Amino acid sequence: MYCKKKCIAMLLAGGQGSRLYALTERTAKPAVGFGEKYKIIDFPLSNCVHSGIDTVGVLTQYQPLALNEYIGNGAPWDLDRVRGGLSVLPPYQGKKHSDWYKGTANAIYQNIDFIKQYDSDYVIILSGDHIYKMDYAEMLAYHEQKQAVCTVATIEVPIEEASRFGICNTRPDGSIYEFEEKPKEPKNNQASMGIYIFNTDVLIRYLEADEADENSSNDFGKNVIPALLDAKERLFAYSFSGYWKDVGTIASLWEANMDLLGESPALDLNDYSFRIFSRNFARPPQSIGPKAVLKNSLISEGCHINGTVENSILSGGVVVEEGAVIRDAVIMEDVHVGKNARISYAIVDGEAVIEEGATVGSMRGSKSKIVVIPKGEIVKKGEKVK
Amino acid sequence: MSNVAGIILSNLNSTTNTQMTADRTVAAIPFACRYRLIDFALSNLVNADVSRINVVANYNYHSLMQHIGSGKDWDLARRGAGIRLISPYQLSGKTSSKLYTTHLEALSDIAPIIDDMQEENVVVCDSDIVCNVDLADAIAFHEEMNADVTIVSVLNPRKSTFRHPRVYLRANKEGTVEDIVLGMSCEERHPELCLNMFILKTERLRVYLAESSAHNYHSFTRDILMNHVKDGRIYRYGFEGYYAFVADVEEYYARSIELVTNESAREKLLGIKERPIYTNVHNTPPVLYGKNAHVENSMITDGCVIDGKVENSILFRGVHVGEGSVVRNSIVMGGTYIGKNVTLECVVSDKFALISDGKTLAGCPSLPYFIPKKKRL
Repeated sequence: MYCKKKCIAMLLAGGQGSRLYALTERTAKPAVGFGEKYKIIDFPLSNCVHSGIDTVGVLTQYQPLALNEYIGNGAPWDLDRVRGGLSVLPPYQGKKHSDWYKGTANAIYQNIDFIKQYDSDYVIILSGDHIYKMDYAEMLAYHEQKQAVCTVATIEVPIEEASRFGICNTRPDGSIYEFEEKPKEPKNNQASMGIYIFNTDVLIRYLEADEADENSSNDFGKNVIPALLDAKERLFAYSFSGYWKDVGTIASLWEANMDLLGESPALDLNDYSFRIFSRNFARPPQSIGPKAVLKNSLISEGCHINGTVENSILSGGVVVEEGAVIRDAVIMEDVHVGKNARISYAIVDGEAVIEEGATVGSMRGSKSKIVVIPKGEIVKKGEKVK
Repeated sequence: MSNVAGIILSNLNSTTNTQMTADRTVAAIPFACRYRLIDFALSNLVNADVSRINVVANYNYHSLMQHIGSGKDWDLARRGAGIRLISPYQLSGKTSSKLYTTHLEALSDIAPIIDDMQEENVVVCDSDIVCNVDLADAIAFHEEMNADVTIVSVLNPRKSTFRHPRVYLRANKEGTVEDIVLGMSCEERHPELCLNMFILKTERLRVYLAESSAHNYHSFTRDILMNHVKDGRIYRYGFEGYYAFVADVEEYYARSIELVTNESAREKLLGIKERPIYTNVHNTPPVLYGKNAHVENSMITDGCVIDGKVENSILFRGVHVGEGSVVRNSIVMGGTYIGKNVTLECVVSDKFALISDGKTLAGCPSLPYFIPKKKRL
């Protein structure tokens, strides 16, 4: 049935996230927990909904079980629609070819038929690696106003870190004349956020050309964007200011969690006009025992706390027994922390058990020395993990 | 598909709790930190695989409608089944336009819907009772006994005196009910307390309704149950878990504080893994504890921002407690804003109250201080 959409989103969620090693051993990066009740993918999906985009293709590949189960039919984000809605798009076997997604561009190329179904004017390409709140509708308005064929969202990063990103060099009107992927000597600090809006016809044309090029590594940043520039297409940079964090490393994931704390947190989850949606479970309220000490922390439903929690993020169903001390740590779902256990500068993944008197991390730890306890791991009584 | 339908009466006994039902039904009274009373009846039904549920409303049901929504949060947004709210309606040709005040009137009002029911059995429950019952087991018992009516009753009710009459009963070893009375407290001759949760053969219910219309009966307990005890087909299903009646503010307060102080009560109500209590989901962010927070022995849920002292209290969704404030032995409902240096002791605050800096409000356990909804102090 014909179903026309103005703009649809393609969300690249197949990445392995190898720099998050222990956390992504069995879970795709977008399904890694963040900020107590969220997963990384909640952010781009909630952004879509707040931006009026109701058709989202989620491209999965690496360890999709937890991710698929989490996404379901998209209902938590109101994306269970009769027309459009959320579709999970894994690699598939075709009559002539069957292949894994080789790169970001190839992943979209393999789903051109999905895009064509909606006869959309624009396609927005997103990734499931970042924590940010952004109204894509404003970016789309900019794209239309500039009569661009492709708009790249950019954000200012500290110049010393610029060589880790794709850097956009622009003219005064915002048009891009050069795109450098991870340059050794960056000319400015306008980093690509990995968010692109394309006119659908242009996207399809360039993806087909990219696919035909055997030397291409099928990547948007490395191949497709430079090809558009070579052809002198109207390419614009949309400068975004606001909170944005690449949570690709343990240190940055920990830091992004800590950004939720403090008197005026860098990322405000309490803004009800731009709420982040997530799959909510019917957990009972948290109960705080008589020996609990709670300071500067975010704590979720279903927790039982009778120990000390400071500067930390606790996900649903965490139990903290008497005498246990948790500082500067991120504790994910259903973790059990036994009596007098101590956790600092650590990320403890779901369902882990820290037994009585065990120590995880060090009080003198730092952002660059975060200890990770993998999912379901048991730290034995009295054991020290540093 | 389950062979049982559900009927929840959303607004019986609203007259005993006028303060909290000023602009909501009894079913929509917030309870236990993040729930509304109807969540317990609904979850009991859903956990027993009852998926065709009728919620009978009479008035004041806007917040109830908003809470239930499509029924999605209880997995009740179904094709061909699910939840439906039955608002008052008049059949053409009938002149009476009185709204129901008793079980029997409520059921008579929806007689056409009961006539159309395909299910063999129907569970009828009130909404001012909080409990977590294994209804699947009760239904199995009802079917095994081939009972006309099975009443869920508390085998060993606590020895408190209620301020409002309740139904008590006596049963024999097999569970056949021998006598039913209305009274203020539990007596030796009628030791079990009825939880106003009934499993009926749908066919029998139709007969009872025909009878009551013929004789102009009004009371389900007095005119139907008491009359039919002699048939020997009324059974009771014994329940031993946690239960709470919340008929007025005092009872509401006592039962709420009990959940905070009594861990076993809390576990029996909210902590049963196989039978979770479901509720409407708001996507509120987690609780933010500030640098000056000091919390002891409390139940708190998402969306709260706490920078003061909270002891022996329940804070519902999105409560704000400012720096230097003390909330002790109090129940604070959703969206209430407590400024700085406020002291609350034995207070029940309804939703969205605003308590400005420096105020002190106190009641005592037998007479808690009630702050009405949206009150600005």
